[in-house]
Amino acid sequence: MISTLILLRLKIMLRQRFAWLCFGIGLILILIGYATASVSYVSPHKLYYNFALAISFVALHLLAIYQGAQLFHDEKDRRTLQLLLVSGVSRARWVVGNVLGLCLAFVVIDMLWLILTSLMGGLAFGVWGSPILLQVKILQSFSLLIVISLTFLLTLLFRTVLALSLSAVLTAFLYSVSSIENLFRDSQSSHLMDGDWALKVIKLAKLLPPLEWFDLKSFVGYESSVSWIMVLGVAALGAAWAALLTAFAVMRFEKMDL
Amino acid sequence: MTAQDESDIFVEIRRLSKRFKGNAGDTLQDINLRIKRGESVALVGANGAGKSTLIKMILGLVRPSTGELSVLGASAGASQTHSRVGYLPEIPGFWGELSAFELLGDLASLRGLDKETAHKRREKLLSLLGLSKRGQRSMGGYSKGMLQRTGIASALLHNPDFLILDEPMSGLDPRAQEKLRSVIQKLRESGKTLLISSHALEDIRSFCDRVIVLERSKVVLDGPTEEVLGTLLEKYRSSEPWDEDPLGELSSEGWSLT
Repeated sequence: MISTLILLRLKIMLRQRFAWLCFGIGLILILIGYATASVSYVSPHKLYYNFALAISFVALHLLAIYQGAQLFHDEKDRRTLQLLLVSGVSRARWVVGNVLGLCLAFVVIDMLWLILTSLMGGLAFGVWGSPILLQVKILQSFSLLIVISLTFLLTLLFRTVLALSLSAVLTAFLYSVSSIENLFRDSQSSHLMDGDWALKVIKLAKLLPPLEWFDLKSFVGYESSVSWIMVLGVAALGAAWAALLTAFAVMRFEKMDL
Repeated sequence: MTAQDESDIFVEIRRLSKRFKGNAGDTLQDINLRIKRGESVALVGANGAGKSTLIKMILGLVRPSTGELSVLGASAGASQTHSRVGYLPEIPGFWGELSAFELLGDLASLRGLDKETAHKRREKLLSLLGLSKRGQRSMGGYSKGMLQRTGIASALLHNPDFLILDEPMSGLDPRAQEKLRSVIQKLRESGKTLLISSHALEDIRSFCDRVIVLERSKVVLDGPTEEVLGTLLEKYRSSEPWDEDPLGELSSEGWSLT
């Protein structure tokens, strides 16, 4: 039954104009990547792949946050939420099915982008991709799962705009914790500013999902792959974080009046 | 009470109250009622009296603040009750991206119906409700009446024992209303238990053998149809008219009503 719910969400998502918009944006970005790489004389294919992956990474996360933040209130307003809940779908299944369905829709879009990226890379530069691309995409799927679960939880706690903003800020922060930490450590050691409070915040942030671990884009430039054990380990951690956040969302949803 | 008597009680409500966050007063206050197998009950009351909240509580969409509520021997909203309850909301909500045919297929799957039964029931219901041809088109282009008919089909799909119909004639043209009246009559004759929320007194007379009147969050009348409707009409006649002459007042304020 949960599979019906996941496929229903996937079907609805992929039939919306939004999905075609994603596809169109993907095409444009790939062309921009190609144009940018063409003007480089040193390893244009590396530049192209780096650009294409970075753009798809940012775009997909933003789109996932946007869709995740809208879904609950949208379904409630359309009264399709109550249709499912009176049709034998439990509240827990509704949350889990929608989180997984939404994630699956983005994975499908991401895979289409990857195929287009590789095709363009192959035709233009003779480099059709490497195993690291698959590893990047696998971990990106799990990071999307965490981000969607987090957004879903926030949207059950706050209004859409606040949930969307919080989720976007938190996601950006969790992806750049180490960089922010280094920045503050450097400024502290050179006595430019007192970064104690910031370092405390960063310590607290380490209790949250380590989204940085899911970002393998930097390895693509070196054309080196990462150990599959590490990829699977991080993927398992991603699944555990997504399960925890979804469990909190279910607990909140069980108490809500609809 | 014997086990047989207990299984004959479809809805049991004891001292039920509901107060929504931020509301000064109770939306429902000290509700006590019981609906037995085979009864056809009308829920009547002015807008805002609490009818929809009561229905949503029976469906498990809204949680009680205090009191007890059981539906078919289980707590409201339990998954085992949904397999025996059909619900038609006042304004059914669907995904415009799907066709009625697809929707009924997905709902049947969510309800755990086998493919053959689901296919047969879907075909029969769409044909009965005049949606055989247009049922294949996406619901985004459906009229209000067609959406209402799709709502009726989804409420009857799993052949429920207990049907909750919220303003069933809403949005239907006279021909479709006649058809629905005969469907409701047949459902009644087949021994289904019905709870109908309606403002149409003629329909209540035709379908219901008991009427419950909600007024200002409380049950003020509960009894046989003719008796309760008689009391209700008497009360309406003796109460303040809506306005002495609303059209005259508007005309005197300069509105052109010719």
